[in-house]
Amino acid sequence: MIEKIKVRVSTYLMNILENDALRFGFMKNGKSNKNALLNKLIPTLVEVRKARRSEIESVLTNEFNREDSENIYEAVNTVIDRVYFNGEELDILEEYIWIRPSKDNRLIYDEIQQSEICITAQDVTTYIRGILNEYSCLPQYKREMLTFDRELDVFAESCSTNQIVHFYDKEAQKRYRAFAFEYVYGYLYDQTNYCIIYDLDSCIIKSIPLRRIQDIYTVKKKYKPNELLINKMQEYLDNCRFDEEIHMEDCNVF
Amino acid sequence: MFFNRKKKRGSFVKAKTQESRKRQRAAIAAYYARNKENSKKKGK
Repeated sequence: MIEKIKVRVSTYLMNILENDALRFGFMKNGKSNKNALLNKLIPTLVEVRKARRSEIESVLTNEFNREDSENIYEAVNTVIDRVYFNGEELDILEEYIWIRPSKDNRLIYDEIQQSEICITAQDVTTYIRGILNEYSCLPQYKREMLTFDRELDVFAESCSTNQIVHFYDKEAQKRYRAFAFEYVYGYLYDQTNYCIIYDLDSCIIKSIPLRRIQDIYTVKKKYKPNELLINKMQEYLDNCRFDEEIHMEDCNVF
Repeated sequence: MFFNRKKKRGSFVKAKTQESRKRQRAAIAAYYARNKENSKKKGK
């Protein structure tokens, strides 16, 4: 079982992690908490790697009709990782980070240690540096989406099922009960991903930045918006003024 | 996991029309105009 891991990284990667820890609200005693960021992020990045492997295998099997796809897909994936995301050739590894796996993440690190490094023929630190190098090449809004993958997953599900969503806004320190309308990728302005909601308690249409959402879950009860609310929310979405709010006077809940 | 999902519209969200696209571009332009104005004020 891994208690802590020391990973040598480039200054570029270190700065990206510092930026993201502060940007996404991973703080402790007024300083960035990179360990908390990494504990949230690494399980998703491992899943991304695994998903890519199965995609490679599926292309080899279905498009190239390779019967030996199982034998070669792992090698192809490893080659891609080394060529594109190893980072060592691109930058000097002059800094290091310590990762202390949280209790919830022990299984993921065991999986890295036992299965992932066998498949990819890398050691643990090279594997972790590889996934972090890949992460650092993405634009900020994509990095935010990966960091808050679970939160976005629940929110997106709520947008399509209309089940009422509950969450905590960690910046405003407020709990919401809301109708989830849509999420907007952060390709505008300062690369914030926005979740557009109708706050059922205060009857306000507003946007909550994804990074502020915590403890999100849906309940079975669905919300059926009236025509006026749908039109107002559509207008709000089209206007892209996500720093504004719309107060709805009439509040026909249920 | 969200990352391997295909983007779907919310169930009440309408497809973008020519008009809504224009409004979005105008909103982006307005945002940068506001920012430019604000930074000018700060510079004074």
